[in-house]
Amino acid sequence: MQPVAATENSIHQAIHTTAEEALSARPVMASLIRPFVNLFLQKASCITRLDFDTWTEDLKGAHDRLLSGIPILMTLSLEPWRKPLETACEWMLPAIREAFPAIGGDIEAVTAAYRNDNLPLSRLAEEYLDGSFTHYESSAQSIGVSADTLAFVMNTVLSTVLEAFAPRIWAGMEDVRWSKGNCPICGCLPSVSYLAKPSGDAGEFLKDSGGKKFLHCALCGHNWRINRHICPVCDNTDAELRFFLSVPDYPGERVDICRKCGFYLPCADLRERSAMPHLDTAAVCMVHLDILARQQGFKPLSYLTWNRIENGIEFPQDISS
Amino acid sequence: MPKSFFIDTSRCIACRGCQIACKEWHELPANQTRQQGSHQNPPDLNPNNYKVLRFSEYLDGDTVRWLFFPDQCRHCQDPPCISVGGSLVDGAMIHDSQTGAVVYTEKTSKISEKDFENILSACPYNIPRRNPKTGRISKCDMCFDRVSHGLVPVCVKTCPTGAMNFGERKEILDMANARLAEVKKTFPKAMLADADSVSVVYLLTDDPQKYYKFSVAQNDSGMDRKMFFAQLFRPVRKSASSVLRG
Repeated sequence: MQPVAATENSIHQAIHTTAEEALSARPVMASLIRPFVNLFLQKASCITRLDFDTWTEDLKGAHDRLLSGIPILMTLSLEPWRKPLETACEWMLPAIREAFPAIGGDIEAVTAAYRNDNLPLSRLAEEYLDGSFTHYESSAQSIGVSADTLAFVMNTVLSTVLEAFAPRIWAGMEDVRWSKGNCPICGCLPSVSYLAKPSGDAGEFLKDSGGKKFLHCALCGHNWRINRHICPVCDNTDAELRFFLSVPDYPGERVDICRKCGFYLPCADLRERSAMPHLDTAAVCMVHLDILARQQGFKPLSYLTWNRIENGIEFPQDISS
Repeated sequence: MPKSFFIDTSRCIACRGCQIACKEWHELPANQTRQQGSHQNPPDLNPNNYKVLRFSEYLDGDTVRWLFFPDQCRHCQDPPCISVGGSLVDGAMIHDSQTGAVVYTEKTSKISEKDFENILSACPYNIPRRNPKTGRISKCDMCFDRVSHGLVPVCVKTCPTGAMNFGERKEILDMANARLAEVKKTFPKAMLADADSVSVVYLLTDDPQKYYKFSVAQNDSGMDRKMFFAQLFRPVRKSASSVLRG
């Protein structure tokens, strides 16, 4: 079940509801959740204002490559995205600075570089997508910030544009059955999975009871279906080697773990929920499950801004993994 | 945002899963009943059954028609029961503005039997029941504990056919109207019962009276003279949400 196209208000409502439910259960997480909530709110406002029509790329070739297993954006230039990337910068840089005052100085430096046209947005976005990060160290050094901060900024800016464009990019590709662990649009890994609510489609006698598993892309926010009995990393189907951890009294939140490959992914069980949560917010709100899995020696499928728990995670492998 | 149920009786198969799930979730004891010659059991709502599957049948020419009606509180938009009894005991009867749920708490045990009779007579759907031993008044609470944690009511979770549905009011009304248009092709008399004034919208395929006397509201005015004065002199109540959520 793909969530239907949402308005700015409905996304804001979902963000608030998701966060408040988590905070009522775990108020101690407020200092972690609130900054991301503010960031997601701003992102939702921005994506409803980005103009997709500036991008006129013919996606016919991308459809054929997708059938061969190559994500849509892997082979495309993002130079035509310069304008939307700039719009996203205007919206998101102040929001990052406000949400994370500890890196406020770095964000101001990035903002100044962007205003002075010293930030090659399109190239950095392409390198983020292909995972090469070739110019991140040099670009970061030239403006006096850490490469990690620059990567965080590009993650926020690029994900804003991608989230706005993903539904339009995917239109016309629905016939492609994609069951890989990485996103069919941008190629990135998921931040969270979910077991879908009942679709509401009822047959002649019985209704769909939900439970189809979807992965939610950490970058573009696209959701795609995957078989529940397969590890999205190593395709392991051995039930003896797959299990999940959850916290008592909160059966709707769990973390799926594969002993074969050692990776884990948080999962929101939406089968009994009355409304679709905001999945990025839900992922932040399940960081306690990240901790639980890390304590048992398992690795996250995606290193995200909020789940860098251990010290010594090196750049750029942690971001591109 | 206010929530609503959509109960599509055209999909109901009278399995009584909703009735049993409700009893289990609320940990209500069993009733001693006798065979009444009907599928309907227990024969009526009672303090141990917030929900009952009503069963009726009639002969339509040579065809026996079975009608199933999962009866429960309608969680009225403007609840007459609250107008009559809401000010009797502080925190006993609450209309939660966030969900639309009408919830009776254990403080209803302090309401007298006579006042209960007034509350019952104000209900257009004959729903509240009083436990004669404890004095507590009870009915469907919209699974308030589940809904306030983002879950659907347990009767909705249990329903295997899609008869029971729950969600944001606007979405539910859209769903109900779309389904009505479809069902009318087969059942021209199909209707949505009192959709504008309640949070539990039933789709009926036949004359409402053939289902059950109270399948639609039975006292339209909603407020007799006694109720009017009860409303006029009631003290300002605490915010429903603050009472329910502590």
